[in-house]
This record gives sequence, structure tokens and C-alpha cells, in this order.
Amino acid sequence: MVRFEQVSLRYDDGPSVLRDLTFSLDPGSFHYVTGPSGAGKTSLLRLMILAQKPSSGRVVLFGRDGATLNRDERAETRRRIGMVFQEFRLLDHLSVMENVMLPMKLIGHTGPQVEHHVRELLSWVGLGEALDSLPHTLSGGQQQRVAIARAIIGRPSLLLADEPTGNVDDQIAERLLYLFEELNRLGTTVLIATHNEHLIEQFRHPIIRLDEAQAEMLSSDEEED
Amino acid sequence: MLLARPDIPLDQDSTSRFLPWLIAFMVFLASLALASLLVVESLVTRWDRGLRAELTVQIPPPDSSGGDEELAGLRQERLDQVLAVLAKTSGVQDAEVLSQEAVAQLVEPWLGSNRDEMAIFLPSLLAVRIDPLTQIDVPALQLALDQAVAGTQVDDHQRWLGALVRLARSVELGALLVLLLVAMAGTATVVFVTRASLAIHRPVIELLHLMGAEDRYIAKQFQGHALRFSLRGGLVGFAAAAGILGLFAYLGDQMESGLLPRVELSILDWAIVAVVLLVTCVIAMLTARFTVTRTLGKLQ
Repeated sequence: MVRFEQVSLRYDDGPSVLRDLTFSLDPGSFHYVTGPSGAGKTSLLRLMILAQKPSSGRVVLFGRDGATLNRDERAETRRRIGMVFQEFRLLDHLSVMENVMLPMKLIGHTGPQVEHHVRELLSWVGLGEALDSLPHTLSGGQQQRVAIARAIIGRPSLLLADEPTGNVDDQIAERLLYLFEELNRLGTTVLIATHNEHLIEQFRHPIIRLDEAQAEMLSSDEEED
Repeated sequence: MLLARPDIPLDQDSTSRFLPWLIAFMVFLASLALASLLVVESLVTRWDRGLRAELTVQIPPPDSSGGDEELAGLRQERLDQVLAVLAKTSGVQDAEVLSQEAVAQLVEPWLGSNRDEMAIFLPSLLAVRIDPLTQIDVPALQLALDQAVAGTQVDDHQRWLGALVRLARSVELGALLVLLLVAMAGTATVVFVTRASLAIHRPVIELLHLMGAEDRYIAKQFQGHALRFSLRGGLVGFAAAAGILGLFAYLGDQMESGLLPRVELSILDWAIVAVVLLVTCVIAMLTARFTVTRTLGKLQ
């Protein structure tokens, strides 16, 4: 599904953000990415969504080297990935419903059935009453749930989430993790960047620990130790 | 109702507020330029068609100090000689002799209204209708008439018609130039505004890209926006131009002057002028699309 081969990243002439990362995520796997602030978690996710080119090494997605994809192929690859951004990145001029519909619109799927599906999902994440609201009228936690709904509405093959529980209370965070696990059971490969040790403890999955620009793969048991 | 709003809020740009007015002004200018071109073209065609089918033959008055009867007899004799030559000329359909009264009226603005005194100086005039499909050899006819009655002149109107046509062609060239400049200015404006919008909405466009939007999906949004503002502005500009042309036509009718050409557009002409609106929309759409795909294509 995802393979990093000696991937390094540095911005301009700055220090290495990531150095010689080699790992792979199997289809249907569930991983966390952890590490201190500035360890490169967001950069790792940006490499996976092809928003960033590695300084060296290869990022292979769905069996294809990201560097060899043309613009249309890159777009096609990205449509198979759901991304929850740390800063949400909702479109403020569109309603909650329209924001969540956006990935479906990009693949040309619209209509009453899709709308019904979106309503259901938004109700499930507790936003059934806010369908027509504009994002800036919502709290941070609500915006985060809209961002998550948008990322998963198209049943992506790969879900990348950057601190998806950072702005929600524990109860909602648990509920979202159940949702991610449910998606994972349905076949979506999940990678979540998080600081939330409590959730990592509660929902056990392998971990990619980033520190000093390098990655270490840990099983959930190793993390516990 | 849902998804009626575009993903990129282009309507909220400050550029979107002035652009329809700019397009309106350009369509207004282009419509007037094209309408003037069509009016001039139609005038030239009318003049050309009318004058190509007619010659004027001028027979000098006889040199006689005799009485009126003798003068009239000599005039008639010369007239008959000329008519005989014309009758034998291929392509001549008929010849109408203008009465002395009519000739006197023609020269009245220059020579005054004392017709009795002028009568002896006035030439005889013939309006000769010719078959437009037959090419008349005017120099040969001139020679034959001159031999029949010395001093007879044939005027095929080409001298002054040529000057008029040259003037009309200059006006047409000017109108075409205006059209070209307006098209260039319009295209440049759309390119500038599209680039500005791309810069303003870069975060949204980047997000759409990360979600898997292709360049043509984004270009389509700009294209739709360009269509909306060009149609809105274009309709205003076209309506204003139609109003002005209508006003000119009305004023022309009120003046009832034979000297001024009538501002008259046929239904086909109106359809051609309306094409300005269509072409403006197409140019705006294509320019926006091309600018977006080209600019995005340069990005990583």
C-alpha cells in the first residue's frame, strides 16, 4: 500500500526533517505515528499525500513511485486517500454538508443517495443539526469532526489523519477511533499522527515513532513496554 | 440547490465586481464598431450596385445664336444622334432624357434659379440604364459619342465612387482595428484577473489538489466564473449599444436628409452584432481555462 525507501526530507538548506526512512504499510493495516513536536509527523503525512517531494529516496503508493506520476495520475492517487488536516482546512464559504460532499463531487458522485449518506455520517459524528452551518460558526471540535467526515466519506483506501482528536473531548475522541477502526475493518489502511497516549493505550496498533528525523517501527506491545 | 455554490469562492473577489462593467464597456465598443462596419459596408454595396447600373451622358448645348425653336431643334438633333449610338451599344437597356427643368433643378444650388437665362448654357443629360451583367467599354463608348456629337461626355461615376469607397474602406479598417484592440484588451484583462484570482485562492486550490482535483476541474470553475461575468457584462454592453444604434436610426429618420447615410441594420446584421456577445463569452472562457491550466501546470 505504502512503501518508503530510504526517504529523506529537508526544506531548502535546513536540517534534515526525515532521514533515510524505510518502512511499509500493508493494505488493511492500522498504524499510529508518534513523536515529539517537530519530529516530522506532518511532513511524513505530506509525503504520503504527495504534497511534498522527498529530497531523496522513493515514496511508493499503491505500487507506483510517486515521483513518476504525472499530474492526472497524482490526482487519481490522491482521490484514493482521505486526509484529515491538523488545521482542518475546511472551505469557509461552503456549508458543512457541502464540505463533506466535496470528495464525492470530485469523483462525479452527487445526487440524493449521496446526500443521504452524508447526512447519516454527519449525524453519526454528532453534527446532524449543523448541516447548513458554515464552518467558521462551529467550535474547533465540531470543525474537526467535519474534517474527519470529509476525509472518510469516499471510503478511501488509505486514511491519513494529523492529530484528529486534538480538539475533541475524550468521549468524542473514542467514538472517532471506533469509527477509524470500523473503516479499517472494512479495508481502509489507516495512519494516525497523534500525541494522545491514552488513545494509543486504549486502541492498540503498531506505531511508527519519529525522533531526531528517524523512524522506529514498534508493535503495540513494544510501545506498552 | 445543494452544490450550487462553486468550490472556489471566485464571486467574492474584488476583481469580480469591476470586471463585468469592464466587459460591458468592451462589448459596447465592439458592438458599435461592428455595427458601423456593417452600415458602411451596406452603404458601399448600395452605392456601388446603384451606380454600376447607370451611366450619365452629358451633351453640350448647341452653339447657336438663333431663337428658341432653332435651339430646341438643334438640341433634339444632337440628342437623336447620341441615342442612336447608345441604341447600338451592347448592354444599354434604355436611356432617359432629363427634362431641362430637371437639369436646371440639379444645378440650382450652384447657379441660382434664373432658369430662362440658364437655358441656353445647360447641357442635355441622359440617364442611361445598363445591364449590370454586361461590361460596357466606357472609353469606346466615349469615343463613339464624341464622334457623333463633339464634346459629349460619359460619366460612369467611378471617379467619385472610387474616392467614396476608399473612404468607406478606411472607416471599415478603423472599425476592425477597434474590434481587434477590444478583443486584445479583453483577453489581457481576463488573463490578469484569472492570475490574480489564482493567487488569492491558492490555499483553496491547493486543498482541492490534495483532495484529488484535476487541473481541468479547477479550470472549469474559473471557466464557469468567466462565463457568468462575461455574459452579465456582455448583455449590459450589448443592450447599451443597441440603444445607441436605435437612437441614431431614429435621429437619422427625423432629419430626412439625403446627405446622411441611414443607420439601418438588417436582422442578419443584428445577429452578427449579437455574435460579439457570444464571442466575448467564448474568449473569456477559453482564456480563463488556458490561463489556469497553464499556471497550474507550472506548479509542482
